Amino acid sequence: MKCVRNISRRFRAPLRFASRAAWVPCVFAALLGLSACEEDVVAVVGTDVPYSIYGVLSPQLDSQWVRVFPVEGRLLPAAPDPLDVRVVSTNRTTGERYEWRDSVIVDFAEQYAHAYYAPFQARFGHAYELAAIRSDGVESTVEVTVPAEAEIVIREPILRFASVEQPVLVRGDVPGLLQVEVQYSIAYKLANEPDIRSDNIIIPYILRHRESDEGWIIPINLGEDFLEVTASLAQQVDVGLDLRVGIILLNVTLRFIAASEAWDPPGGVFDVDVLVQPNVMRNVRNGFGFVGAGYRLGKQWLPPRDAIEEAGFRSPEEN
Amino acid sequence: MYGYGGVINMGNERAGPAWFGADAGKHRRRGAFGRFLRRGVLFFAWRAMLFGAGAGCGAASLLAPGAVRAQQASVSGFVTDVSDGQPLELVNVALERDGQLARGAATNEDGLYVISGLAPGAWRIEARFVGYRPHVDSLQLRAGTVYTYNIALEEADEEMEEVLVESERQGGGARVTAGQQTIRAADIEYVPGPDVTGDLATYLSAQPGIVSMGDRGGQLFIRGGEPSQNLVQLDGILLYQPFHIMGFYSAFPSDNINRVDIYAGGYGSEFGGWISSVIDISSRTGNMRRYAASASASPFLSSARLEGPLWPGRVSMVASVRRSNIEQGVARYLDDALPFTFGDVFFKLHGVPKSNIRASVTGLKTWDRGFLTGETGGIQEETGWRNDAIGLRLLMLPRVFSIMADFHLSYSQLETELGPREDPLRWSRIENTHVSVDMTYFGDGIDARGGTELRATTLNSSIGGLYQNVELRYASVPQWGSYLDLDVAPGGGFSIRPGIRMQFYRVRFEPFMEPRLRAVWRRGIHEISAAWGIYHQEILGLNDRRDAASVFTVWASVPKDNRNLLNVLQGRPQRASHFILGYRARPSRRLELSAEGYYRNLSNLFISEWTSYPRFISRLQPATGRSMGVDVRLELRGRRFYGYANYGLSSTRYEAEDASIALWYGEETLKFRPPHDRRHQLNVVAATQAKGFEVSARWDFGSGLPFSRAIGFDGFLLVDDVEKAVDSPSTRRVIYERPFNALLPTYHRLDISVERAFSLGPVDLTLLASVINAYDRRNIFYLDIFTLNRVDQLPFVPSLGLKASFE
Repeated sequence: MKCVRNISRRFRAPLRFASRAAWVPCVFAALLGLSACEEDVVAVVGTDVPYSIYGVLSPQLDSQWVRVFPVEGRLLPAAPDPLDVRVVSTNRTTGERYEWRDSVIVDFAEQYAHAYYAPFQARFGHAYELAAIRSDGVESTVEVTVPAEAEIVIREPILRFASVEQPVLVRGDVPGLLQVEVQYSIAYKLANEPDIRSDNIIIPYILRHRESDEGWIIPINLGEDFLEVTASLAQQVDVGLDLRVGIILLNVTLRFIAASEAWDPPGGVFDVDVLVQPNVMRNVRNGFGFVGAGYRLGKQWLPPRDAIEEAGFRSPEEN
Repeated sequence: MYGYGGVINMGNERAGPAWFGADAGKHRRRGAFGRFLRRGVLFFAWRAMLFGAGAGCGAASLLAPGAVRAQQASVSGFVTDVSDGQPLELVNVALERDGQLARGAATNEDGLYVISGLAPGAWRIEARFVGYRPHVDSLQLRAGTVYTYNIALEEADEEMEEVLVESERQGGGARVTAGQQTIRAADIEYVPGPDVTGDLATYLSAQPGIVSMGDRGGQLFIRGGEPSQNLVQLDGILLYQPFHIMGFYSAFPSDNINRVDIYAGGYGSEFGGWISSVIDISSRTGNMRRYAASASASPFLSSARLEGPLWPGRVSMVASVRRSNIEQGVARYLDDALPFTFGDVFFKLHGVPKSNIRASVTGLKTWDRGFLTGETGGIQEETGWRNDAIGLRLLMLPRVFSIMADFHLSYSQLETELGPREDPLRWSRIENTHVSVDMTYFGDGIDARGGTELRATTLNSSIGGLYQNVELRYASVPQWGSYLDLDVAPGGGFSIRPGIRMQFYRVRFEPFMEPRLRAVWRRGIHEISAAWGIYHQEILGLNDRRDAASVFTVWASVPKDNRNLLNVLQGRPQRASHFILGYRARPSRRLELSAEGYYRNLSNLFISEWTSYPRFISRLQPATGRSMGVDVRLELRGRRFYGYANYGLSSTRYEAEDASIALWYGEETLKFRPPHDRRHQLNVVAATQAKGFEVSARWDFGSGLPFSRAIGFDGFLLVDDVEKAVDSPSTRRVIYERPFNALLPTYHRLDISVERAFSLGPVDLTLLASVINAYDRRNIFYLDIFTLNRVDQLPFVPSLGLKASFE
């Protein structure tokens, strides 16, 4: 401030002018500089994770199949060109090793897909390691144990007041049950038709099984299911049923997948909007995706006549 | 007395739905009767008790001083400009007796004043306004009468420059009081744009706390609120999406604007049904004395405007039409695809049927169509929307009480679609019929305002089962709101406006109570203001906000609470509470500054759920949120210079509460910054005059907006059975880390315009040369995460505009 005061008056005007005029080019220079400071957008950070693998090892199949997707930096349609990957499986129990082969398929959505397969039958209770190895040695691996072989044992029905339950035992070392469903094969007659119709009504049994010392118990509730079958029929047909015939139970079929431990969707439901998230039901190390192991099991039977009738159905013996 | 306040006329409130709102009223009554039968007498009695209490209060406020009023007189009227019949705002009207000032008032935006509590006898009335000759007259008032005295002021001959400075101070870049900012046409004209005539959208995007998505899209986020949470009304007519697809333009050119009140939050109890902000536009009335016309053209837009007296002194009209030239104009010489078309038609009839009544009919039609984002995820994002609106307003000064009665009847609709108009992928339509009555009582030191409104909204949409898999096909949503608002001036520089609003929504029988409070303290150059309020919103604008550039909005309502319906929306209207504290000072005539802090608490929000599918509309999830920040403004006015700078610091957080979040991210809730959370914003506007040229410049800076950065892409196969890997269809997938985990680049841009006016005989010509993005900054508008396709905002765009006008 002292210096400013000491500047003689004749210099003040030009200095003031200079100080006023100087800001204009300065501002423009600064703005042009700003325009040069282009910032690139890094929209995809990338990852060292090489592959996503999906599939199920099953002792019921003569060949095992998995789908392999490379993890890429752009969303491009899958191409038929070979992937830079070797898929190898090792039976950790026996040491048996397979080099899987690529098979380019066009799926129902008309998209190319790389399905790798190996001609062997997965063995009950054996552990397998599956690796998708890139040419630089980076690999995605997954270890999965096939459930032991199980059998279905139909127990005697339990008749209580207003409840008819027939427990079914799944005997064997099975970590989990999936897609449990009970199919009721029925026959009925509509009030305005002369002939008897037959139909299959499927009732899902999501997370209704419980663990016991011998294995899983699935309590088939014939009484509740009769109400569901009736409601389902009511939606299908416009006219009433012939009550003299009623709903005849022809047989009951239980179906499920005996599944490996990791094959366990949240809430027991395969909700595609939930499962599509990369970290949900993921068991591939250094990779994404899910490889399970399991097999389908099912059994058909006809409950005793008293259980059928107590539940509300009619027995085929009666007709 | 300027502005607000109002008598609690709850007697009318009780009669409201029966007297007004014919169809909607019937609908409402049927609904109420059904509820009565279902829920029993007690609930109905409770509601009746509420109405009764309100009616009692209203009657008391009006009738209690009735005996006193019988001994007193009142004067009310309208003040207009004699040359064109336009209402004049902020005119000081004073009544004197024996040389002593007894009572005074300032006119409101309709040029209306009411002075009550006068002793009978002879009075001297004087009206003064800067730039106009004072008007003086004598009145003889009789006891128990309300005397209507209209005043027409004549412009003064003196030098107008200082006058202009004073009159423009009614608005201004730093004049914000508890979230409220008043904007005049002159304020808009300072902000450079590609056309001779300014536009409200250009001005709004230069304000702190208002985030626009750039030069396309027409979406404004105010203090963290979503566009669908902003109440926009023109002369009391609700408009849902009145901002054009090109960000410079709205349906409100400055030529048609009388005044705009923006409440960035903390608004009073006269507004209800929206939780973020209010943009209340009052349109200009036509010239009552002579015809005036104008036409303008630029590579962006062509427009024509006509106003004049249909019945001189009694009925005026104003009409304007605008149409975009972008595809034929600027897109050609830019060599850039700008596939946008838009336009609007506006008209207003204004009449003086009696000396104490003003009537107006306002109509607006807008249309927009364009491709904002190109092809994304296999969907061509062609978007279009159309607004149609018409409204009637009656403003009365009854000769019985010293009150102002404001009656509105309006209808508006918005049609919006994604995809071609003839065969849209998704579409939505919302219609609104609205009836309201507002009464204002102007007392001595206390103004009281009360009103009731009935809104019948119908919603129609086809969105293919998306959004929580609920088919939002059709819904009829009646809403009813009543309010009471007092404007008290207890002295000491304080002004307090407590208010309460009862808002009835379909989702529950009991009303939602919404207390509001606005308070101002003024002393010398200082002003401290504060506001607080609770707000609810039943009408939802569902939008895929994972990407801020997505403008397709489906309008829906909150479903009623239903245990059998698994729907995150049910029974919970969006709720917000606002807190505002501000300081403003005017250290000199040419300098004004203000700083305002705000905090908003948001609940019952519904946001899009994230999915790794490469698609753009998904299910909804519930969320809460909060928004807070500080806006700082500085305004400078010189003899030949005007400018302002403002800075906005803000932070908005949403907290999603969907059950899947724990599975996806290992946390109960997910906190994130939504894509409109701009942390820093700086705007500088400067205008000057030199040698007949008017030069204005604007520089905007905004820190980067959040977006969801991906880790990579792979495929997804649903493994739900043993043989799935053989030939089941797979989908492509994007692998996100967390939503909105990265920031887009900063935004900054300089726009400059130079304007020169000429006279060619009776025609006034204005030539404008402008450049948008003067230093050619590559500002990002949109980034398609799936294709990495980047769409930038406008590059360096020179433009010429010409406007011809005559009277």
